[in-house]
Amino acid sequence: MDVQEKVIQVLVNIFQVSPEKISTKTTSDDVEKWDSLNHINMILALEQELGIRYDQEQVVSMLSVREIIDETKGMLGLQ
Amino acid sequence: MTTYPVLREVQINDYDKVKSLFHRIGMPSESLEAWKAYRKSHALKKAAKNFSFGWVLEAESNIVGYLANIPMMYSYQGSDVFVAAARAYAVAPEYKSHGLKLALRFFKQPGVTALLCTTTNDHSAVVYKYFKAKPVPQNHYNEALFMVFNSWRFLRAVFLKCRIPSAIASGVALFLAPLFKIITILKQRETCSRRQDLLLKRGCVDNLGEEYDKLWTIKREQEVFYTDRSVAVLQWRVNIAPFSYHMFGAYLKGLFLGYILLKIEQVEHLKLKRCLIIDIFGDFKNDENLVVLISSLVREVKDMSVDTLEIIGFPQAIREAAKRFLPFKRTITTWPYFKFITQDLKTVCQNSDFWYVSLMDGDSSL
Repeated sequence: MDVQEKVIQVLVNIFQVSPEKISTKTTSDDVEKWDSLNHINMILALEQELGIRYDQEQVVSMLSVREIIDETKGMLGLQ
Repeated sequence: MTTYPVLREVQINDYDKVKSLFHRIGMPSESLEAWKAYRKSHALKKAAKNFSFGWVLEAESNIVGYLANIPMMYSYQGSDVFVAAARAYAVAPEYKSHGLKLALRFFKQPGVTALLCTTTNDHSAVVYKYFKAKPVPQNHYNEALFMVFNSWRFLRAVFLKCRIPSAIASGVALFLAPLFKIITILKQRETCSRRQDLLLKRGCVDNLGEEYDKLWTIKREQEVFYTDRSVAVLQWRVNIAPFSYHMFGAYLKGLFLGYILLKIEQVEHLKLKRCLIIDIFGDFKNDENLVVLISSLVREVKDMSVDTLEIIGFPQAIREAAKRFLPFKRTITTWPYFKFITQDLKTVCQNSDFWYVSLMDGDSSL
């Protein structure tokens, strides 16, 4: 499973939406349950799933699926 | 799609827009006088020239997020500890994913030794934990002790809290009040202790004598983390809402032992007038003196036409004395959080006696 698939899977679980509702164009505005609490839950889930630790500055700016994938790939040295 | 909000420092002229935000999301707003008072905190005289009083998220000329930042001075072993206390964390629903930016600014601010978040809810607690803040080291902070003066109003408040409609809550409370009154008589039957040599005298905070500063000068040298209780700070705090506070000096054979500070709050949504013991501070010599003083305090509060008297926090000795008169308990679901920046404080704060936790801490009673 690649990074994009893993990220989308985590988002689907945390925000309790169907996979079709999450794409690389999705932003926090598009997801009803994407508030700061679930944002942290999402970050913690991604960190656990991928074995990484985001910087806090990064975390607050990851407000779209595209940004999350890009930052995550950067953390994993895939860019 | 919502506009991406811009984060900036709050200015005093943002007051009306922040008030609108609070109104829109159903949070109680503060007076402009309180806003101005925070900017006159005594703590600023000792530290952080470029202190920020909070941050806002702004979108389309509206304030859509706000977090206040109150400067406070603490003391440990005679040393000043500059603390920033978070207050009034509010974000408009359509910008709910951007709230973390405010929290990040709070936790990353320069020039402070400690960060304190005393008014939390389950949601903000998760945010604070993410930024490595910890619950204050006081084992019983989530257990408020209280006594009831007005059974009907208390029961009505309980039912209102359970979201029972007001008319039904009032009616059922009226029906059950006589029975509950008997319960309060049975539980609150601790006899009032009186001693001629140990007195509680009502004081005016604007005219506190030098004995208050002398007490603070002695206490601040202890190995205890205290919020600043100098006369200047007591006056600053009380004068934010002067008609809500009541100060009592405690005297043993004419000698000043310490003071008790009360605050009366009207809890609008519960239609309850409650009296909170904000501070009990002094050298009370022994627990028996403390019992007599709290007994005197209960007599004073009875005359204030309040519905309940409540105590939150404080070391075990004070709680044990209070428990004799305030036998009811309620659990507070939230907990104050703190984060120390310096390693020396991080090490010593593990001890549960380290912090004299009360409603004087942070913005708990502001």
